[in-house]
Amino acid sequence: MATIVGRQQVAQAEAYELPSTRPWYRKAITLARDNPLGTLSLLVVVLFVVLGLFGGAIAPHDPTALDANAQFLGPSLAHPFGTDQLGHDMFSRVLAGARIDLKFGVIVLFLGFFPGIILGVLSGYSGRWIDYLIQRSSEAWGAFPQLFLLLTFIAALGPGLRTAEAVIAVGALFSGSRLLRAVALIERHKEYVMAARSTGASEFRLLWRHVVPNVMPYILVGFSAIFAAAIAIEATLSYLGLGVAPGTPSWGHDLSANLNAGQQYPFLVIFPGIAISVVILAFNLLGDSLRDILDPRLRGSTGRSR
Amino acid sequence: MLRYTLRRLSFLPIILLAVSILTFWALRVLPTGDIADVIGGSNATAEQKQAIRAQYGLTQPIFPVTVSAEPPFIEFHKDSQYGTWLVDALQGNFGKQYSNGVSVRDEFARRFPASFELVILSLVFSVVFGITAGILSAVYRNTWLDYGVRSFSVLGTSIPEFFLLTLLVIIPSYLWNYAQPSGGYVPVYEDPVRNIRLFLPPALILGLAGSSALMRLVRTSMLEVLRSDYVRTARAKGLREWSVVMSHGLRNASTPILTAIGTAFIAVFGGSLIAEQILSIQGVGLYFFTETFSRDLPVIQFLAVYTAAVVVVVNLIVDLSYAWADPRVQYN
Amino acid sequence: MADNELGLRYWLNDRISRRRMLGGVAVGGAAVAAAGLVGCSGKTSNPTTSTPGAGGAPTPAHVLDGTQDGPPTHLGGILRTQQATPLPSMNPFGPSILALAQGLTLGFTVFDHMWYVPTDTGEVELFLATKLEQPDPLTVIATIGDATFHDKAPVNGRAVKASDIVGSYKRFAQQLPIGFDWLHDIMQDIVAPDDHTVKITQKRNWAWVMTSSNAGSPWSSSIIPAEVVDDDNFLAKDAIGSGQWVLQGHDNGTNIRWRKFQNFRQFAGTKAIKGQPYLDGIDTKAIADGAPALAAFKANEIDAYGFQNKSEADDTARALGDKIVVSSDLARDFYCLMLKYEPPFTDERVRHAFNLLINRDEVIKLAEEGSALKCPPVPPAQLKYQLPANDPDLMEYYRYDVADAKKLLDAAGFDYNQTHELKHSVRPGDALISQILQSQLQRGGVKTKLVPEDLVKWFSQSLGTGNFHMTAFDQLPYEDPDFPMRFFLAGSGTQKNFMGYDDADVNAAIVAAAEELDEQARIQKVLTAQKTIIKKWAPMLNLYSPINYGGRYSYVKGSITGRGSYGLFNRTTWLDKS
Repeated sequence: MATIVGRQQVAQAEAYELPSTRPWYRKAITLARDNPLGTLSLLVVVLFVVLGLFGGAIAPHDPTALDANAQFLGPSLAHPFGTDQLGHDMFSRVLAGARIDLKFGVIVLFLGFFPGIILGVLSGYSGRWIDYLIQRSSEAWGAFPQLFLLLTFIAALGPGLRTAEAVIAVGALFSGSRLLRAVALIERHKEYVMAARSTGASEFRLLWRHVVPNVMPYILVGFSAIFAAAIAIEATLSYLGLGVAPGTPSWGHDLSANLNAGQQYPFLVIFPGIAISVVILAFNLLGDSLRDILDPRLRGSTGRSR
Repeated sequence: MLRYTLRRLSFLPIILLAVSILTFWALRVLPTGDIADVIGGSNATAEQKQAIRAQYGLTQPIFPVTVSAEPPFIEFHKDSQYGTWLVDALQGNFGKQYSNGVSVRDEFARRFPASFELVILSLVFSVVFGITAGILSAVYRNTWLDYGVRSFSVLGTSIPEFFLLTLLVIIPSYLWNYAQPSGGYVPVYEDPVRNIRLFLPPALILGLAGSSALMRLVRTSMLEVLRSDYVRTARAKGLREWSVVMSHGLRNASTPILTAIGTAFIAVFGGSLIAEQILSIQGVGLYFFTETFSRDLPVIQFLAVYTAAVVVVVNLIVDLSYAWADPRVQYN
Repeated sequence: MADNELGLRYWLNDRISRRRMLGGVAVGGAAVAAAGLVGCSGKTSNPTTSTPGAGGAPTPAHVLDGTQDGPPTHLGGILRTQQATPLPSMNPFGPSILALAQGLTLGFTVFDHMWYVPTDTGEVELFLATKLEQPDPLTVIATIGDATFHDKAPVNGRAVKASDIVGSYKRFAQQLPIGFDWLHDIMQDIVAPDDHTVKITQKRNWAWVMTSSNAGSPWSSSIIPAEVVDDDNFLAKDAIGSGQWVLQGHDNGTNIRWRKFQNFRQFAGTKAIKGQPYLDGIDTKAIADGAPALAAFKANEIDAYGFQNKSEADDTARALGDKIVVSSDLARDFYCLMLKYEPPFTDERVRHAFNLLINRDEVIKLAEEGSALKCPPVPPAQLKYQLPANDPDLMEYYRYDVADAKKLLDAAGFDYNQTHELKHSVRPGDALISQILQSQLQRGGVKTKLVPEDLVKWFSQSLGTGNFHMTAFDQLPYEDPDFPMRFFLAGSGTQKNFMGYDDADVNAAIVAAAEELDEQARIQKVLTAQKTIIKKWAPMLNLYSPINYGGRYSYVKGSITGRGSYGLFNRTTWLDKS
């Protein structure tokens, strides 16, 4: 068993601690070449973030502008995704719709996932009763279907994305802590930590200098999972009428707002639906690729090993 | 084994009690949804509103015990809302709907079969898809079959269920004037064809969404097992590949797979709510959804406890089945 | 005001998925389920559009009514319709805010009434009453014919007595909260001198007494047997009446099943009703959303469906050809923008300017694909009470002129930097209209901020209590010209009306019309009242009444379309599947 672990560590080191003789962009190119799907999904994710920040500005039309002379137009050069009942340019709305999801995802990250990381590292590193408490609560929370949890809280707090943000953030808190706890548990028994500890380094310094950098990649994996989940939830809630205010560009809301027209003009439903699916797909694939790169045990099985 | 089961079972009431207290607190203490506003309308006077609250027992103290910073610090109440609810609940009486006084239990019983069929059918599909695809993908790894199965699986997780369900409604109607039946529930013994038309398509969609995590897990576990020494030995003994896979591989990979089935169940359970909503299937999920809007507290209260019970029981079944699937697992 | 009715509808819509309301199917709220029942347009119940109205009325594609289908060869069949809204209860009395949907759905089916006034003719039509006398303006005496209640315990098919009618009116008067001015303020007493006579006395002259917003309401004039009229536990789950349909069963308010009442009004009345209703029954199917409902209609899983808009109707007609019949109706509901009577809206010029900024043609084009009529203070469906299209006041009301609006705003010293809150419920129709209004007001430099609110909250805490600056929404379909005008009338209580508006001239004009007993004189007074309202730029600006499109399979014969709510009492529909 020991030899296997040894080999893994070597492989892991090779994967992203390549000799410094090669410049970083070479490394990146190699990595990208070996993971075409991961690269593609990374590009989609980057595009998503760019759209989330500047989508409204890039959009060829104002996504909330009405046009009585452009109702229900089919896809064309002027309106690649067609227009809806109010003459909204659907292409612009799809571009602008990224914002609400990005915002939702970021809020969940900051409110839930990042505190969760700290909690997880603490929990994994300290052990004891804190660990037990966090573990059990996390299991209990994670066991419930999110939608049912959300509905209970919506019944109590009223609808709107605020409620959803709070509920999903708690979920992210726990999943972040779960992820990082496992990683921290492994890391703290690793030789370099042991070695550092034996030299008398302080626990905090140890955590900061050695454990944190080593768990960073796992955080990225968790990152994409959280984002994928947050986008799915925002879309579902807005679709059900429990999310964004009417008229706000949001993929889930647009899909549901055009549901009835969808039987005459299916493109009104299909484009927002594809936008949601592609972004979630990209986050999922990115997470998968990161996992593949980081977890050498699986690399032999992915067909992407060198 | 028996002792472990009993111990786990003894946790069940504690968890349900905790969930019921939390829901009770959240639904009554948090600021939204005063039933008096809903029923009384804008013209109701303060007295009328108070009378409505009294009618629904909402003027009583919420919990049997109140703690305050001033003397007498701890107070006990004989007729608290929660106390009354709990006593009734223990007798199997979960209150009445605010709107029409129909017993929540009866209404639940009426709606349960539809949800049960949808969830179980979806779960069966996810397990069948997940395990079959996972095994195929592991055995034929790095082939087009593997890539195909995995792409399908990742698509399954990524496309939101509501999008697929919407397409299920819209596209057949757009192309062929065909409608996915919606509304009403026809038991399979009354009209099997209609029942299958009603449940098969949404169950396939939910099953697909639930299966992808399972598929990945089966694949990973199988790969691990297939590379292990004892499988190599088995192969060396000249056993045929498929018999190695089925007898050794699957059995040894069973623990994580069972966990994943539990997860798939929860996914499908949550997804059933969306399917019921979109297709107007009068099931438990839709009940939860509509009563959330009308803030029918007894219904939400009951359904929250019901959800907790389902989740806890499913987890228990999964845990116990480890021992059945893998004799090495010991409980103590 | 009519807030109880309103409340119910909004409340009901809210408890279901909001998506369901994306199209128009739910616009009619309570009446929707019932509208679908009789195979007329499901959107709302409407008067005809084939009668000359406020100009530009569309010609219905193939309007049929009971007489045009020829003599029935085989009468019967069970009509399958969509039920978009589950009924929370079967109790027509409440709990108060819930009562309208159940009251109307059952009022058009299970319960009978003494008379009814169809909006299109405005003439009283006798139902259970065989004779109706008004010896003096304050007294109404009705003689009722022989009829029995449905044969269900505890009533068991006994004869309908005048005392049942008295008991029902009294309970409605006692139970329904303010909003029903006639029941609360006008009706003095109702008594039954004998089993076949009902005598109603009023406190003061009230010209609208017979109409469906008053003593002839399809809701509050329902005849409910004395055994159950006070039994809320019974009423919550079941209904017994003497109407044409027996409530056979329902699944907690959904999938309602009605069956023909074989002993319906067995007397030689003014109308031949032998063998009616022709249908054997009506089954509703719970389908919350428009899209699955349209799919179900196209797949012939339901027999009738209310389209969301004209293009959907055209599209479906193309897909199904002559298998279906499409009809259209002018709705009686109307969209409006309400301004709270507070600065800057206390200045008449500002209200006038806001009205000038509203381009009603564009609103109609965007929201209804052009299928709607502009709405004066009395909705266009009230045919007798319409100002002529060339009336100068009306023309000014509909005028769209940004430049003039700006001049008026400047003259009033309007603060362009102020942002005005426009509250709206999240119902898609209201949200849509609010978005359109926001962009139109923007053209005049008026800044608005949309404040969407949960439906219950919007109704009970914003509209109902006058807690808004501006709000836009869809009004209920009212059945007489009086009700829509009462929104401008200052009441006696602390809350004058939703807007807090109180103008002596407007009040006097509305009351004068209501107390005028001569019909021709009353019509003139309604027109005068409308002109007064327009000239004062009273703070509720009406936008339009939509035209609704309904479809049914062509084997559904004998439907009454284009007669508003009257179509819901239809007894002549049958299915010709031979």
